[in-house]
Amino acid sequence: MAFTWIVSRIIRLFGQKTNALFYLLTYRELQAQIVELAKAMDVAPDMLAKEIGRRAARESAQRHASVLSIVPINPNSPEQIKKYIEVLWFVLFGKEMRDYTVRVDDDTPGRQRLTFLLKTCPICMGHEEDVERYKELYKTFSGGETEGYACMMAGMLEDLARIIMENKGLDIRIIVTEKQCFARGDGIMAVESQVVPVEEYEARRKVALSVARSVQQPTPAEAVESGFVQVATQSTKLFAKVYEQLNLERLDTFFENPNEQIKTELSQAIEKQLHFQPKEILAYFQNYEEDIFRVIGYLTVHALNEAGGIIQKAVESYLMSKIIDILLSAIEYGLETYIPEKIAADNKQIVEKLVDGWAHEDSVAKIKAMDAKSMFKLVLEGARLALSDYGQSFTGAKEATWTLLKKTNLLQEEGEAPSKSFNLIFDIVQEGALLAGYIMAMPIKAWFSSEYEAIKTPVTSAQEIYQSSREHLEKLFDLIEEFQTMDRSTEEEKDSSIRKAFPRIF
Amino acid sequence: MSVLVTYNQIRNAVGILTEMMEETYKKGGASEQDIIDRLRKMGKNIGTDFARYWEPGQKGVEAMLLSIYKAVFGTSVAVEEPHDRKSNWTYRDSKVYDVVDQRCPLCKEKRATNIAGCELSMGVVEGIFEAMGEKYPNLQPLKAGQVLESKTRGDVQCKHRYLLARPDRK
Repeated sequence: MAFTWIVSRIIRLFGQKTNALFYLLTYRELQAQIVELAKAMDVAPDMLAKEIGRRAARESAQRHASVLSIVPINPNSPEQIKKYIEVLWFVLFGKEMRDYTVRVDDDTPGRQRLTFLLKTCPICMGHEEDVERYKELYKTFSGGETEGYACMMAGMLEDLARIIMENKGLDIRIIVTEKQCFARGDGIMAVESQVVPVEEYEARRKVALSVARSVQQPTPAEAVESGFVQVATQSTKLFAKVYEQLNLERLDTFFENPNEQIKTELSQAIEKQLHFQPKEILAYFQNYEEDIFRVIGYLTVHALNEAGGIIQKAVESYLMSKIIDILLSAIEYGLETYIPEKIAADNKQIVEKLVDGWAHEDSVAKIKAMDAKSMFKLVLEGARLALSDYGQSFTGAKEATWTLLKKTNLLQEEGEAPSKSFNLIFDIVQEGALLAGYIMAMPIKAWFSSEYEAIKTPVTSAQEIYQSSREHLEKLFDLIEEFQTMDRSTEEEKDSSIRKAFPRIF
Repeated sequence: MSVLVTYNQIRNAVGILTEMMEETYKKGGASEQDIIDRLRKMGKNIGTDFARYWEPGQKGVEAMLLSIYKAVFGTSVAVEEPHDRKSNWTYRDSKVYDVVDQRCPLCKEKRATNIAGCELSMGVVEGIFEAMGEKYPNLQPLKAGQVLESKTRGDVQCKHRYLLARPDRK
């Protein structure tokens, strides 16, 4: 699903990636130490390993709470639960779950049980090569109700699931258990996911562990302060607020079910929120049809700001205000250069269908006569007006980019030719700007039912646009990951300020 | 060999395990060094097994260190030689290499222990050098010295000191 993929790629950015073999070998050494420690603590090794896995996931989740909140969870069906576990697997490993089937053992609502049957285990693959040396270790995780060797991983998955469900206020939890394990001689890896009520989850027997000492919080003097840090903090809050408004689960449903009666719903929503019928509103714009589109842009920005002052805060940040300037310029540029006439005409057709029956027939005729791209430019004009209300200044993409980069000291030590860092960052910004143009075209089309003949083509166009924009989004994620891993050992000073501000990404 | 996976939770697990080992084993009379030795041993086992599938090449200690940190830990580090080549009295004729890692995969934030997660990474490096030394007898063995700085202890970066067992004969 589109948003599941996007969510997975975003979350992967926040992970620190190492060699997969190093991961496997570390896991094995951890388990070996856990077995020894469990004897000293007089607890079962699999229970200790699982508890350590849960706590390990908890630490990461606490750091990345706002990012994890974008994971869509809608556990109403085995299919949704399957998708949820797949996303969590990606969060955990940074790789998709592969070569597996899913068996639905119980689809009772609120008590679903699914078993993932994997042909290869990401935790113990290649264990046969050292089976003699680690025979005793693998044997420890077998027999009776003992969970398999990947129990620590199961604990990580379980707690990741728990934290996200808890943050979203759901009254269910998922218990993840490795039921079959290659390392102990089974022919397959079987990971069971059992949905239970939260009370039942909390009432389970826990391993009594404690660490007596606590970490001292840094003093204010020790806290790192920089413009980047403030932006990073603001962008995290902004991200969470935008997610709340966008409601990814609902958008997912719209993409899946394009046949809903959206015009009816839109009309009902307008009446509910504004206490006006659409017809009454559009009557005010007779002979001022261009203002309809300016007002759409204007009100959208102000409406977004209602959600915790997102726009105000963004404009107050030097970095974010420059990015807004660049993005709006890019969207406008994209309209002229990258949006085909057909796509623009499709959008105009949708607008015509909307206003038809709502606006006066003279207004409808004038709207039909308008150029498609001009409509969008009017929306942007309205958005710019609203942003100016918050203090946003517009200098154009080129000057904004240059000023932004000079301000962030990235160009201070540039030689005559731009460095690889500079080029990568510029490419990242460029791809982000191109993407904005594609994304702008998508939601409008997704809102309409395919029952309207005129809208069938736009719905197809939306799918084509999704494919094109996905390529640019992939490229954007790849560029950011390349920046994360490139050798910047000669750029220590610039690097450290970026790292301090965005420690979770860079 | 270039497959990358997310290491975050494993890193956290190492930290949690270290705290639990310290808490449990100290009650039985173990010292901080005993726990460090455990982490180093874990690392050496990892390094020895890793070297079965990959080699850093033999272009000199500094180049090998850069290669190991990149290939195993996925980090780009800086290698410093803090002591003058001719003056090596402090470490009794050992040559010193300090590796600065700003993205240590085993350390993230201050923890409730003074034992750095990257004791394990140092064990890995030593394990790889040992395995290489067995395969190529002319290779000078590099030993893990100490963790000079660590994010686990609240520092802004991780810094690892390695020692060459024999001095250069230049």
